[in-house]
Amino acid sequence: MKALYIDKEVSFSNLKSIINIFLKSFFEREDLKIRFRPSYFPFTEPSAEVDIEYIDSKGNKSWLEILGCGMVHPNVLDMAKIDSSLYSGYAFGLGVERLAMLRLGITDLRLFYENDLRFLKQFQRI
Amino acid sequence: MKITRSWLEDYLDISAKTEEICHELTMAGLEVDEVSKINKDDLIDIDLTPNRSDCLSVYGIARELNIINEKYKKKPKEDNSSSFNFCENKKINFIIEDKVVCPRYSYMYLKNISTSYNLPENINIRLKHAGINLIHPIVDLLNYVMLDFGQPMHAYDADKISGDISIRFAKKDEMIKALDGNEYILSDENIIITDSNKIISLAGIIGSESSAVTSKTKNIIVESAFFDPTFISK
Repeated sequence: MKALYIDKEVSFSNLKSIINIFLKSFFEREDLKIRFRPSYFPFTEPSAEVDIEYIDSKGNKSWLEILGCGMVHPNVLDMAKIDSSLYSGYAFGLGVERLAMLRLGITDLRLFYENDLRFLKQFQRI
Repeated sequence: MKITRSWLEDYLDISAKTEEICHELTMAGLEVDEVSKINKDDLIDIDLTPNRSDCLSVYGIARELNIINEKYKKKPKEDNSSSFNFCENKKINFIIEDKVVCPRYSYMYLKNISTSYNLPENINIRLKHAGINLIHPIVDLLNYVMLDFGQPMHAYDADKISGDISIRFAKKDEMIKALDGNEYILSDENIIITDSNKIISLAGIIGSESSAVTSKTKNIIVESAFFDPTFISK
């Protein structure tokens, strides 16, 4: 899943807040700890990776990388004939299966592709 | 890139635990993949992003750490330079066909190197930890300096080179048998270095097998040059 938002006066603050809102509502946890770590992607500058805090099976706290994001590189906007001196934007991308696995406690990615109704029917409420 | 804590300590006063400096590096965008213990040292594996080639050396990481947190103070430089009597001022003609792609080219001619000479053990250990094979004392030293400062250099077996050396663009479909044993077909955007009758290296990337230094090499030409990065990255 990818998101791209372009408008006048879009800043990294908008990106940070939308990701915070999205992750907290997706995991239904207001106290979810989220951190942004500088990274590099060719089409965004600056870029960041986002980690969430989780507690592993041994009870230790650690961070799990969950998505990549950044401010759309001005050259990308210019190539799409959008005036980068007026417009800016943010983008982020994440794997839906990965997120669903975390949210629902599914341990094997392949289950999503087997079209087994016994599996699929368990998630009617979501 | 794999570097040891003790090597970083050549440049910085580090009192913090390795986990702490790894956390600081990760949060500054130099993601630490893994820390492994070796003897009494820690081997830190850093997953560098392509925009941070300034950190592709121990010195680069030390510089970054010093900027991240000023408690990692720079150590004063030790001057332990000593004279090196292998060097000879031999004139070799270099023809640079296009100044734009190679603004600076320098070399050094080293003669009569004893192949039984061994580098200090701690240099060999550091190379081993970085995953670099020992080939010849001079090549090993060049690799060491590259890991230390980030300046890549290349050594040619001087006895396998004949005539003038020139730097030019390759012709389409020219071939190079590289010292990794593979043959590469070149395009007209590759920069090559040739002697009077063969290609001796693909500039800034890899040398040819025909001019490679082996454990028996006695005379060496060391190359240190700046090639236009936009062509090297192709």
